[in-house]
Amino acid sequence: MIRIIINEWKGWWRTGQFRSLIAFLVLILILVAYFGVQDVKSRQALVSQSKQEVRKQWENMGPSNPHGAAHYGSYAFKPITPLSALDEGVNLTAGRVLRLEGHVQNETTHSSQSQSTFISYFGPLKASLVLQIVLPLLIIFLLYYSIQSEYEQGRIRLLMVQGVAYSKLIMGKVLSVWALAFLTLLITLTVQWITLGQALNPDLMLRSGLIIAAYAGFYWIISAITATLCSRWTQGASALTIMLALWVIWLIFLPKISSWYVQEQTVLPSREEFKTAMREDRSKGLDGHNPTDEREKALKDSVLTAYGVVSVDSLPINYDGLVMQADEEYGNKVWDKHFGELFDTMQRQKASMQYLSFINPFGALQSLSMGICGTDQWSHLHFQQEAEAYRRVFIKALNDEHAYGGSKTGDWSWKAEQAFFNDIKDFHYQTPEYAKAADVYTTDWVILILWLFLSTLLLGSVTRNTRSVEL
Amino acid sequence: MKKLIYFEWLHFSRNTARPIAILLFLLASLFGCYNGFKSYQERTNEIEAIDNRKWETIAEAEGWFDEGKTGPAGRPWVDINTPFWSMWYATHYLIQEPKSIMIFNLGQSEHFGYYKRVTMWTTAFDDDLTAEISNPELVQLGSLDFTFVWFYLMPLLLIVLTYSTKGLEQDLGFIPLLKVQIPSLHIWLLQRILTTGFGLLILLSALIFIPALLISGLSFSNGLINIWSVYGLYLVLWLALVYLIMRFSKGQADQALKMIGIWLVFTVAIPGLVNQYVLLKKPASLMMDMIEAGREGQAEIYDRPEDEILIEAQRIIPGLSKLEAAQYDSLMKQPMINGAYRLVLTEYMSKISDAIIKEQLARNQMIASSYWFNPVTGFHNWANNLTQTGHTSNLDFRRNIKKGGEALQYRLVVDEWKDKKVDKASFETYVQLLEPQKHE
Repeated sequence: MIRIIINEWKGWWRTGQFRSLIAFLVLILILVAYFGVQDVKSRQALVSQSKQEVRKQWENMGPSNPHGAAHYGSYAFKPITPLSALDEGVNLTAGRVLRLEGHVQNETTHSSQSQSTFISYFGPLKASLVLQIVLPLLIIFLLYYSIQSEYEQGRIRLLMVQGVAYSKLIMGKVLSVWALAFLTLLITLTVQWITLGQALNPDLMLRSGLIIAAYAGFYWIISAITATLCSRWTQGASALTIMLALWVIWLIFLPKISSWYVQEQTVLPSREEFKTAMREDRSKGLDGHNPTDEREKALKDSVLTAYGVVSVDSLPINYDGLVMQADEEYGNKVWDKHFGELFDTMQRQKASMQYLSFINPFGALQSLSMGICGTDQWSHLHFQQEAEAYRRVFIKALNDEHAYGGSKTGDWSWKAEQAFFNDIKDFHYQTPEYAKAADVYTTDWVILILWLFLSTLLLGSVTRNTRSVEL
Repeated sequence: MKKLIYFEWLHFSRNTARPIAILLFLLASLFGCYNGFKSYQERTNEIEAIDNRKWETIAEAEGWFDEGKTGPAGRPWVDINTPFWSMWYATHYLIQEPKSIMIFNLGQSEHFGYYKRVTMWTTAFDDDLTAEISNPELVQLGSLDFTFVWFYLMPLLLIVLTYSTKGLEQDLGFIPLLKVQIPSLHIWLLQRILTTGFGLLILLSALIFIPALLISGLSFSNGLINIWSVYGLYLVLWLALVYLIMRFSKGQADQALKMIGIWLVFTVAIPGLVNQYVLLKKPASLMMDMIEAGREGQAEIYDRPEDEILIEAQRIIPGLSKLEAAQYDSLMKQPMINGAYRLVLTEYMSKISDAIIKEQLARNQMIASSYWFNPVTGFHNWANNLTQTGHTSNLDFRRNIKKGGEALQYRLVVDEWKDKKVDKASFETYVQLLEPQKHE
């Protein structure tokens, strides 16, 4: 087997066109990996700089009314993961800036793609684009040429006469092409890690290993199916035509059809519907600025009873702070309900997309690639949820200060010292380790493994049943 | 010619893969049109719903005038008779009406908001001017609209239809025989390519004009010919590329490999490379300018002394000082002072918005400068401009929003400085303020 592989490699190497093609591909991948890393580094720096700037503004705000500070708010910037250099995922389509303020849970805004005219349907030329779209195509052509040339030049009969098993020959060819793709993948990742200059922690090592496993698995599927078709249709370009059609259907056509189908089946509300529903639910509760609301009356009665006074003016605290916090807490229930449903719907959409990968292993690879790189929808929603959790703590601290900081009810001109604001911790987002999100990608792994198994089985059965007479 | 078409037809019909490819392409095109139509309808319905809600709010406010109320129950601070609250409840929306030819090109529409409530504080880059709620992973996959089918699948169809043209003859060793029978191999090749191109042009015309005839409201005046021309020219570009490949190829497989290679280079590699270059050279903003303006900039304005701000306000609206009720003296009312601060802030935020628009235009310019070697992106943006589904029309919409906010603010400040008491008739004029500025 090893001899067949070495022979194949030697044969390719003797072809000038092949040497140029491989050199070009490796060069492109090295350049893409390098520029991808530079891009990630510059965007990481931008996020870090913006974060510092926003914090600096907060710390230089000067003595302010806590409620004014809640409106002044803060901002969370979605960090760029190191593996974004490999797979950009949803980074360019999803918003990256999240305003954290009182009274409202916001969504991320200002996506990259909303800030310029159209550039590319397939996104920037990241390593993932080459590894997902170009490399499979190369595998198809190389295997087709490799197997077809044996038939066209009549070498296959000679080999059979010499006692080489057909299945062994084809397996050797598959392995030689697959190993080449695997090597290219390793080179790309190595360049990424060298240029990234980041220490490999266990999580990053795990992610890198999984990336290699997922792509290597997909390349095996492509190789096995191509070899099967080439063994089945030995005349003309039928095998190549079918394989190219499969490439178009899997990589270009089906992802869009699946996306459309999922959106038709699991419908998201329009922004206006979503806002109206939340507004309606919210109006049933307390309004921080509405003294006549029934809920506020209940709150008022309980506070007055607790402090043993008859009016809010006699309270030793600022009652407005309590009203606003109660309103926030009711609002949080409303956000949890609506955003919870929204995020659930999005996760259901993702799950449906994953199931549709049963007919398209490329979908599983794409989902895994984004997931492992921490640039998928789950990671995006995780960031939003963490930021919202912080917002709640942040606003509560401000409302508590308004209530218990020393001011009296109705005194909106009272100001807390800057030191108080500086004591409120900034939002620090840590990308979750892969292990925490592993469950999300189980379906993708199962599908990929299933395809791996099926394609190998198919290859085995076709090559076993192909006898020399058919050759 | 007749003979040529007949033989091409024979060549086409004898291979089962080709009719199947055509059928799939046809289905994808029709599906793309359907997707575009659905999106157009959804937008139209949403706009109608927003408009209805807007008029409900306005009607409620008009009711307060009739009933002699100052505002909604439980909000004693609201006084509809003051210009400020009256302007607030006049509820202005600016809408980017979808053009019916967006059916053939959804463009970047999924990335942008198309309606916005405009108030005195509105800027061109408010957080609520954002796209419809969507799943980012699905948006990232892109939608299957007619543009996708034509710009990305049509070249693949062309490859399926033509990869054996001349290649088959080369593989079978018929080229010397052909040379004896025909005056010029190149003309023969050109004729064959043009026959296929002609067939695709007929298909394109049918795909554009038949749905146009079937869907009411879509007429030739809506830029249908223009969009057809864009797609037609794109077809010519690919026919030229395919012809060049055929001239210099050796056999079917070689031709197929080169054609797929060219497809990858023009649709994936070059646009992807340009995208990466633009990201590195002009990275998308995190809107820090807007954030800083809304925090530090705003605080600095409100920290400035009143007399300075009042002079500034009179510079912005020169006639302001001549208004009788606005004679600058110690009796000046608080709303007038507040208005002056708001006016200065509006002008400041407007400058920030202009700077961001300028920055985005520079990014667009950088992208446009790549069109000579990046034609697919060029054609895409050309189509987006025609259907108003691209960033350029979004920037126009943002400019309109900015102007709308300024118009409300200016009118409000003038009325505040007139110390105007708003009645129902004046409220109606407030309501009408932005109506003529609607798009399309």
